[in-house]
Amino acid sequence: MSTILRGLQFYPGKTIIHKLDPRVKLVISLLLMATAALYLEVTIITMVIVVEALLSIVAKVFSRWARTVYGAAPLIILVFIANFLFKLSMPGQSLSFQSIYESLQLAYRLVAFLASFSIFFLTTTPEELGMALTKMKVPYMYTFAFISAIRFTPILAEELQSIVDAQRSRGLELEKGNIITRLRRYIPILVPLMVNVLRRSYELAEAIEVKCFGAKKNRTYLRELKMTTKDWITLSASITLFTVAIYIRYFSRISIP
Amino acid sequence: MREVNLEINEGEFVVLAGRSGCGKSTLLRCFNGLIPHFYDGEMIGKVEVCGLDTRQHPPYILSQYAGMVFQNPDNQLFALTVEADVAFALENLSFPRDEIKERVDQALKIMGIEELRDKSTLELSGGQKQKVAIASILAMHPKILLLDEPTSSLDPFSAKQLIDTIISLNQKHRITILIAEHRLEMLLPYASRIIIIDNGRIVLDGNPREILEKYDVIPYGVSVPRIVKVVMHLKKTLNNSLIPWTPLSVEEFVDIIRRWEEK
Repeated sequence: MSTILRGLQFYPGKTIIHKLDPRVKLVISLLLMATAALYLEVTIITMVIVVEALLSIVAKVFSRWARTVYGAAPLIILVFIANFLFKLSMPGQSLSFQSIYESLQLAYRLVAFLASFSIFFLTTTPEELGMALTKMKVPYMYTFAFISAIRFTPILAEELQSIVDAQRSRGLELEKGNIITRLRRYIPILVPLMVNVLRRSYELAEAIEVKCFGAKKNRTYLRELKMTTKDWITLSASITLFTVAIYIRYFSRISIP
Repeated sequence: MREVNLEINEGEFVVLAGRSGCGKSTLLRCFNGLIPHFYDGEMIGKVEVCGLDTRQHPPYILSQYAGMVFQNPDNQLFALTVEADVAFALENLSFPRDEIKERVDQALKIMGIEELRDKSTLELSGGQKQKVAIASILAMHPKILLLDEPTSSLDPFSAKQLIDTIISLNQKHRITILIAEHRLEMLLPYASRIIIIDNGRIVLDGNPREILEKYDVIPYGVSVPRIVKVVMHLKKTLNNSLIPWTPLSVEEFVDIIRRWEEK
């Protein structure tokens, strides 16, 4: 359960990357991904990953960034195998160096995708994400649902753990038996969890009522995102670079190794 | 609850006592409109808070007069940082940004938790969470603070700290306090009034010292402070003039003994 908690922990930082407007960071991540989607060449994908690595170093989150990318290895291997088998099943294909190489390229591209997402989430707090959603005119109901999900997941994870402990101390064995008996053994865990969640939701509803949720149509906000000059410069620089990438891909005759 | 006839004056410090399920929480929920607006059931009679009839005003209006703090700190914080949570109710009420800022600063200062401002609500201790919960209610500038067993999930030290803060809210900031609590030992010396509820009825209501002197409250599930028990025993064996009044705290008892020396 501690992994869930760790995954949701956010580390406030003070680097240039952390201070960028989350919307700008989101655009940069998407552009990096789009670049990786435009090209399949190993050299370009490597360049994208290097750029991402540099960004993570500037943001001082390199080790955590590397860990998330490394953690996604099973998924990447799965994609590789799936692609490879798919290629083999196509008519007229045989087991060749070419098909292995192409599958590898696709899996490698996934690394660039994941790494790009990872930087965004490592340098943006959920709070900032919520503010970005508000700025993007997402109705507050949805932003609130998003923030609540982050707020209450660790609490529910803790509750689940204590129910597991309580039922185990009453003799419940979770690790024995085949899949079906194991699943059945989870019933004494899920039922109390549901009951607790329902009870908690009632208390939450009371508390939110007292805090005047939904009292006024036009909610105000204490903190609001503002684009600074730095944000605009970064944004335009990355868009320019991306335009260059599109140009090279579709209009120039530069051959890429 | 039945046959409730109650009037609470501005600035009072009222302790609601009685065993679990006796109706303390129900009574508290009548003051901010959760009853009758949030709960189903039958309500006969009339409750007026600061001149507002609770039937005619929704909880979000009444909460600005009578703010409520609940038992479980985890179920009343909604934002991800302390500052955002204290601002939450004000944002819902569409206050202008400058005023939200000012009120958040003030509420954090009153509760003595300015250093927690940028912390995540997930990394706070139980006592800190409860202080944040009170701060976010105080930011609405209520005249009355309703507290439903706020220390029940805290360790004795954090509970003492929280109760001390609540006492100072009453003494320094003149906020009327209505608190349902089992830890009477820390509260009674400062309370102006104790209301004992049993089975949905108010059985005793008055000054804590007089109530404890005159009545045996233990059958109602009220935990009598140990010092009061000691003094009651002493009174039976010693000359009554030696203990002219019942002390509610150790400090008051020491005071009485000091007077013996002077004599």
